[in-house]
Amino acid sequence: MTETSFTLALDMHGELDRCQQVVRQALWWQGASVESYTQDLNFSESSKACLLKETKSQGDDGRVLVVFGKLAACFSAIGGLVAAATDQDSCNMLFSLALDDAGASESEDGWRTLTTADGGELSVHVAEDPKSWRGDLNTVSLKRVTPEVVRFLYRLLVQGGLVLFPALITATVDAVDKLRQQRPEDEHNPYPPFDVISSEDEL
Amino acid sequence: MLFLAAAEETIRNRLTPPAGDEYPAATDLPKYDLPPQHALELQVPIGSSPRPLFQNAATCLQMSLSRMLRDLDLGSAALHIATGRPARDCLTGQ
Repeated sequence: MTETSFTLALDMHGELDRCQQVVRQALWWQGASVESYTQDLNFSESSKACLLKETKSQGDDGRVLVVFGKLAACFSAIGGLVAAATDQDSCNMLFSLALDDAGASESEDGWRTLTTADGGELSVHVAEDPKSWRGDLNTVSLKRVTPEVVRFLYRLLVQGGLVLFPALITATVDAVDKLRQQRPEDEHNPYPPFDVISSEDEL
Repeated sequence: MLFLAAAEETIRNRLTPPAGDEYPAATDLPKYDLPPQHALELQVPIGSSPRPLFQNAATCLQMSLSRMLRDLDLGSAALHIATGRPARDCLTGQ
């Protein structure tokens, strides 16, 4: 039987619990199938694949991680990185300006935290040097989701023509149409099935 | 569960707070049982879902996962698309 699969090779360091929390969230976003496999890479005879199982163990800190980026990020070159953020309407710049306006904390190890009036809290990783090697993507860590947090993120989706990864949600159908005009679809470069939302209630 | 359907459900049911004063803490994530290793492969079949997944969906997943790990200074994720390779082959390294 022929199947197609994709394999993610994960190279992690640091506190194992935190690493696993991030990966578990990615699996959650993907809704990983019970037919998925994990295999440790210790390159020994004891290394073997295991069906992905679900456990009821606790320990996550409750934060939800998502990534925002430009539409073009879906069609990035080898390595999955997009062009460095250099222009004024980059995702990184949009987040930086919006966080300034909203009175977010100053950067601490690249992370800026915004606490909203209704008790919401989110942190955004922004590049201090917009010309660095980083792709124009911003990780957002949602600690406490409230209407104002959703409103903040939805406004950026609209203003910047951004996409929320890995859910592939966008708020600007015009931007999707424009991209499709610029990049004719072919079987080797299929378009992701964007979900276009029209209000913050849908986010 | 499916990639996109799960994402939609996540966005609509978990990130959108309900009316009233009680906001969810964005928890209740499935707890996948991962091996206690810092280096591992995760192999996911494409096509077992009624809503097709394709290459860019996997790329987007890798891109976002790698970004999260890098921003948190926890590592990276690389993607390999394998066609015609039964996922279960990796059970015994055949």
